[in-house]
Amino acid sequence: MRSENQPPIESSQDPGIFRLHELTMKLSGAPDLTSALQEVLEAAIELQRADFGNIQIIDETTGRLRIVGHKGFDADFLHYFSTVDESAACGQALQRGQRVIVEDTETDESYAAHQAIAKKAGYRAVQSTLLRDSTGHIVGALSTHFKNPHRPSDEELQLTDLYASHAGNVIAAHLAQEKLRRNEERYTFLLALSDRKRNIAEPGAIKGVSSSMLGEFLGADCAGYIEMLSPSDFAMVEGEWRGRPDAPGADLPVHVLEPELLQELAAGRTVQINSNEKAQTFLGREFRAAIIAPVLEGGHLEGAFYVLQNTPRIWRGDEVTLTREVAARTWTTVVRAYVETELKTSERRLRTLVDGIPQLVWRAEHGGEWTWASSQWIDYTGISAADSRARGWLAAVHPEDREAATAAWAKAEDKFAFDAEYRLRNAQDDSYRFFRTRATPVIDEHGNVLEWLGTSTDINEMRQMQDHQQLLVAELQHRTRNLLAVVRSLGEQTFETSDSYETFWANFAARIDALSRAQKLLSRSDDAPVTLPELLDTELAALVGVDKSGVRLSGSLEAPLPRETVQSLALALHELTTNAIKHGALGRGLVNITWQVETKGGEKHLQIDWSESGADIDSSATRRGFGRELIEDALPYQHEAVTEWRLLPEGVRCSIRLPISPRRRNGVL
Amino acid sequence: MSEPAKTCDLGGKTILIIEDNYLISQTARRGLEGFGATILGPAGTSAQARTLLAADRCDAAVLDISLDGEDSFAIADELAAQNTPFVFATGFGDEILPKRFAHVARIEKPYSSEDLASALAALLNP
Repeated sequence: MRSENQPPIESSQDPGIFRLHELTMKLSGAPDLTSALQEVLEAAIELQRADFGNIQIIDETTGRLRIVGHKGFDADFLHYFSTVDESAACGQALQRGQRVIVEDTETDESYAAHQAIAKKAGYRAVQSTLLRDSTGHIVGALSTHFKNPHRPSDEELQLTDLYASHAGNVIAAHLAQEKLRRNEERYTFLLALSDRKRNIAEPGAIKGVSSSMLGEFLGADCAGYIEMLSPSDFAMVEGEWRGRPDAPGADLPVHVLEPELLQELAAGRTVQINSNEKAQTFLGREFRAAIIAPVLEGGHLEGAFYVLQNTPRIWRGDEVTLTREVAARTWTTVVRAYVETELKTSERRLRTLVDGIPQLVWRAEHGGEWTWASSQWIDYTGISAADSRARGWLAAVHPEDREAATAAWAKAEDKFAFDAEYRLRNAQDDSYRFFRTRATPVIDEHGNVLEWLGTSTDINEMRQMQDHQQLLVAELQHRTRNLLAVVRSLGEQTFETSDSYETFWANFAARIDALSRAQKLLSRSDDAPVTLPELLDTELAALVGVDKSGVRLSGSLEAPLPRETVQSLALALHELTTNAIKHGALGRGLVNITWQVETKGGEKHLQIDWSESGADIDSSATRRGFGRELIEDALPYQHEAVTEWRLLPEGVRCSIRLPISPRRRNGVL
Repeated sequence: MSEPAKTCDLGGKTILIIEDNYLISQTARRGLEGFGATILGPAGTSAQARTLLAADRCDAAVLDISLDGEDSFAIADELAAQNTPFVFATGFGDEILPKRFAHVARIEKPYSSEDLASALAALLNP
């Protein structure tokens, strides 16, 4: 600040210095950058006694000099130099990094390209001084023009440098302010972006919002988020933003990224393309400038954000940084959205599974303290989820099984598995059914049990089937062994009554055959009982053959035989038939067999009468035959039959009264 | 069977046979008679066996486990109560036998007369 006591600098002493002092005062009061620079320009023109002049700053988006103030030029000139190319004086200065002086535009070859416009504008000489900030960085240029060929004096040029340094500082201060403003804008933008994304759950929509917001903010033509797919060079774009309202967010077909680009992105490098001379294409879009910022996670390329511009553009550093930031944030949000969507789907899937399976599902904490029970459990046991909590579930367990169920929990902690079979009460019919209950612990990363997930599976029918099968196997074994014991007895019996080996074998084989036929009938008729007519037919067919003229059968077809009587009766009938053949009743005479089912006092009997005629009986035979023993002793002994056997001269008369009512049974057999 | 007389001798002993199959019971009867035994029965049911035991005494018994659809454990208990030794003759496996009969001798069907006689002789001449 100038004090009152200081003597004023006299203009006559050095008008340039005085003007500098005045300029400094003016600059501090200038309302904006343009008017401040205009002051500098005016001062320089005055200093150099120039006729025209202009002042330019480096346009951050193009990197080229842009006229921000002038004096004495018409619109044509300004349009011509709206973008100054390298051959103009200031362009040359910028290129060389130092002042350029064209003393005569008509003779200086470097200025040949602009002679016409110089002539039209009316200048023959031009000087261009670079404007730098305090660090020496070029921020603009100051040009003065002269009607006649001219070269400013060294003194003038030195003072011009002082003016230029002032201008450079002004521009730098302005740029710093701009930068601050942009930073603020950037943070405001990022806040707005995260606000917008917060309530969006769908990944595609998140990408769309990020794309349109960043695209609009940067004033770009196109923006989008690339998601890398598998295989890793496949790229998917959802919700791409295009600056024109007639082109809403689009999902692009899957692209394969070019290897060079992919390599850059995979290395974590942001690809920045500034002001291309000719248009390039990316994802099928033409562009002249682009930012493609990768997102890497664990060294792996996950995605990228791209911003495209159809016109030449130099991206500012903060624009590139912002794009990188938006790329990273979009990826984070999109991944979270994917996870949440997947979690919801998986929860829904799990819920459907849990509700759909026939098992009773539950959760428990250590020691079998239940925390949750599925609807199946509640339906089956009639115990609410709340009442089943903690040890409440034990109420559904059969009282006899509770101790075992509790004991199984005690073991489960050590074995990291719960597995027990116990009965659970069905509320609907008040019955108990066997369940197999298994549970597995959910373990955290430190190996601690967080909780137990368990299922109870109804195995009642399986257990019943197993029990039944065991009974069947035991029964089969019993019958087989009994049958072998019977065969053994038959052998002994036959052996004792045979007088020769031949007789033994013939009789024994015939008896075994009869037994086999009975067995065959039994094994066939699992459902329908063997009937007496069937048994008779089988035996007669085997011993007599097809000609049954010597046999008269008379009785109902409905004459079922209890299973356990078939074998004994078959042997008895076999002996009767064999004897009838031997004595001639079958062959020369006639065998009359009648039967009927009688009911008396609630008990059913099958009455069988066997009556032979025309036999030739040798009444001197005294030995009691095996057939007679079977009828007189075996059938009464084994089946409570009432029997009678008589030997008449014309043949055998025999009566068998066999109880056929189902027998009461007790015990396991 | 190098010394059948020594291991199977049932001379002077009365044996109750409980077996529901007639042929098997008769074979057992004849077999045991061959080794000198006197036979009580055979009985085909528990009821018949009780009737016989009420009237006569016996030194030992052979019991078929399965008697025409019922088991013979009740009559076995009665024999045990009277201190009458017995053997089970069965076509079933071990698992069917109640635990209280775990110590009772068993012979498996089909058995020979010698098997049966030596099992009984072992009971009578410990």
